[in-house]
Amino acid sequence: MSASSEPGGPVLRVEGLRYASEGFQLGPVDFQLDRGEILGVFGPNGAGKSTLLRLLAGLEPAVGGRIWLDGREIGILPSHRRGVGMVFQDLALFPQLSVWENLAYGPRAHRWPEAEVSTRVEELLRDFRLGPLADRIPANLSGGEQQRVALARALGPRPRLLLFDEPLSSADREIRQALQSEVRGIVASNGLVAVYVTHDLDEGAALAARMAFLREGRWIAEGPTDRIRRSPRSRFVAGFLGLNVRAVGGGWVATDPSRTEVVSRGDPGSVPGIIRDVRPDGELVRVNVALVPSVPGPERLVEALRWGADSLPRVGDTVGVRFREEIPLPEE
Amino acid sequence: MAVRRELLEQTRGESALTTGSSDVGSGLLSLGGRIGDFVAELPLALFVLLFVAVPAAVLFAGAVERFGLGSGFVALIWGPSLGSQVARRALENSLLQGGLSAGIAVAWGYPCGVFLGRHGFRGRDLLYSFLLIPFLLPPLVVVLGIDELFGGSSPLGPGFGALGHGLAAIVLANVFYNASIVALFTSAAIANASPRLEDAVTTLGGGGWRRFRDVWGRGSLLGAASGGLLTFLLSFVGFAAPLLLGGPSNYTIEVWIYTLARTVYAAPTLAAGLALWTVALLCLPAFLYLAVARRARLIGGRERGTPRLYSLNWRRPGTAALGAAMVALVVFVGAMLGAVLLLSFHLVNGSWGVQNWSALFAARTTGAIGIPTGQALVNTLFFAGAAATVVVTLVLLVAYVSTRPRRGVGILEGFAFLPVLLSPVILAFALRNFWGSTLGIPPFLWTLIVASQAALALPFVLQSVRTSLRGLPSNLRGAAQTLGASAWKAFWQIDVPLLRPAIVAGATFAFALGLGEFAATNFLYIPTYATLVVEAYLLETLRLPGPASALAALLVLVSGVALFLLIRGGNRVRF
Repeated sequence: MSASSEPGGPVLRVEGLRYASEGFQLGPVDFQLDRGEILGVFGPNGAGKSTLLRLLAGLEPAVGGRIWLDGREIGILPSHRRGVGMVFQDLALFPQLSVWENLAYGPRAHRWPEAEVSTRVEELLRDFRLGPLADRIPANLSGGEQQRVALARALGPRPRLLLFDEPLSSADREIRQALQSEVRGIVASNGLVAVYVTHDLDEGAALAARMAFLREGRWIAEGPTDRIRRSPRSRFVAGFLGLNVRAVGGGWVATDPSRTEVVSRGDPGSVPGIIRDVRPDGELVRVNVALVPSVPGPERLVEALRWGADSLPRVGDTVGVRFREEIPLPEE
Repeated sequence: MAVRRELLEQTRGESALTTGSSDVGSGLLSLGGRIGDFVAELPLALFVLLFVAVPAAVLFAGAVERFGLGSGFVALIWGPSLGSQVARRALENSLLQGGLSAGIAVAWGYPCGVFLGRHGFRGRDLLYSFLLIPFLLPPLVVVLGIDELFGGSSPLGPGFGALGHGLAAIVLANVFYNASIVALFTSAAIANASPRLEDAVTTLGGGGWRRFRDVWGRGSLLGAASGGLLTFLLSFVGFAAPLLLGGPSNYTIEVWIYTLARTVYAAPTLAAGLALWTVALLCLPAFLYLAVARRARLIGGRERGTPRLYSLNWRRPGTAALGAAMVALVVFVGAMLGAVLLLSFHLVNGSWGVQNWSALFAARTTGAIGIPTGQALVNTLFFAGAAATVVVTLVLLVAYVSTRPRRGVGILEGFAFLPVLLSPVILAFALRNFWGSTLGIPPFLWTLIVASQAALALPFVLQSVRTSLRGLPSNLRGAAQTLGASAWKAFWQIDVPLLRPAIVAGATFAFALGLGEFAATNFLYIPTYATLVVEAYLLETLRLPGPASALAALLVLVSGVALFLLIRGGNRVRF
């Protein structure tokens, strides 16, 4: 019936998934993930990222669309029968249960024999270095420990699909990097698939081989991370990726800041601008330049580089900006 | 963009082939959830419909049919007949007693609430619990206490006789109950103020006045105002105090309705007309109360965090004045309770002894009221226990659907608050009128008593549990579901244990209200189903003050045990 049921086909396939509530609509959302792939879903607050995860988990009712996981259509199943694991933004650890009981909750809910529950919990305690904390309740754990428990708990019943709702947004850099590495390893080694939503590009890009964008409920673009970076195909996506977006002629183009240079005012092929901020960064200088609009309108700020920190430009200087590469963006 | 368009076209094409299946799948899933919600909502909807809404509607429809909503209806109060004059007088009494009681309760309760809400000290939680006592105490007990303390035969009678009868006694009883409520509401509203905002005002140089004006003052005034409005509502429909302490010249509209509907005057249609008047008149203050309480975030808010509390500095005149008001309230409540307990040993002949207690179980007393005291105690515990069970079951089911954001839950919760609009006497009257020929006959009459007690406790318990429910992290149930638990199992295993303190508090609270419920139970009972408060009322009216005072003391002790259970383990009723 679908490619998803064929051996070697995608593990997760989502088709035309839609959601509607008062004043908000999401979708249609379409994507598929192969074994070991992580999809990073990006977008500003209120874009519908968490709603998408809740739809996949069955915690919100979809108004249309289909979801297959390992060839089985799970969109018609209630949440507890979908075989997904979810790590929530607030982690949602059961405050009255110990770490051990939190980890045992999933296997027990799936009616595993108690001996298997114990074996699985011990395995998770060992893998996530939670052994000494087994008897503690969540309130007595540090933030990083709570995040490890939440991740371990989601893996308890051996789900095939993992959903992450910005669980590392409040973690410090060291914990975040460690857990990102852990997530990558778990997904790859177990042949799982994962959807990771975040508004932080750095956080998601470090994890995901594919990326997708949501804006006000619209599924803007989806594809391999490299391809999206090379060809964002949308002003919104280009802006989200940190590219310099500007109007040229009747259309729009994007340029990576690494391909944007500060040059002398009036240099051939350069665009005039006024320096707003200067940040030395090792051998180079990062400069925010407000382009002088050719027609009256709001100023557009771009990030440009200047090699060699010997002659630092000053804020307020008028300079030229040269864009060495221009990726045309389609009409929106 | 072209690729995107192409992808969409392709997706639409594929979807067109599969739409039927997907919509059926989503539809079935959604239908399953809706059926589950419907099953959970049904008991509450049926309960409120069968035991509140429909009986009240039928009662009022009868009145409208008889008097209309025009001149005939107006003439019930403003007509020239003797009945209208009495009803008008009762209405005036209700307004006067309600207004006076609310004014005094706010004037006394507000400083107490500020004292409690702004200061941290040892025994603060104990004081909070102590202030709950009047709310849990059967109204009749204090009425009997005032009569014993200041009435003719009392040791204090000669000096304070004016406080033992008439308007002063009624207002005193109302203030006893409601000053504590105003204090607790004020304190709860203050706890809603943001400690961080207060820190910000302080670091920006704001002193006490600015902190009051910009951080906690508005909330505290709204809290006191909602307490005042509730006092007005409760006093307006006051029953026990005007019935026993006031005499006919001080009857409230509630007492007059009871008199017309239940006693030898037997004019049920007229009583129904006055009941409709009462509900119509109560609508405005009731909605005002709900609106003010909502603005004070006493209703509909989340569970409060830890408020900013300051240590006591008695040298500051403001603190000393607030403390004095609180001490006076504690002394007042304590003195009344102590008097009730002590005077149960004060005999009619002026001496002291345990004869009042022994008389309580004597054949003469039993013969006079038609039921042994032991049986009345069993009835009391059974009705209150059954009402608490009904309320907790209904509230749990509402809690199950309340955390699922969807249309209709708000309507259901609003539906559950319907009993607030009906006074106990009117509710009992409506129940008897509607179910009289079926459930009103002796084998089933107890169900009406239980239903009335449950309906009257339902809004308070629902509010208490709902506040705690909103304080739960939103994703817990979802987490349990993604781990493999069904929606109901997730609720039962995760939410319910976390709600346990609120549920236990709600159950105890409903039980305590049932123990002391007088107006509705007194309307519905027959001797076989008499409760302790009804027995106390009968003893008082039969001029057997000795056993009546012992019974009042017994009720204080039983309520004390309920309060102990309530506060044990940190359980609290949330305002």
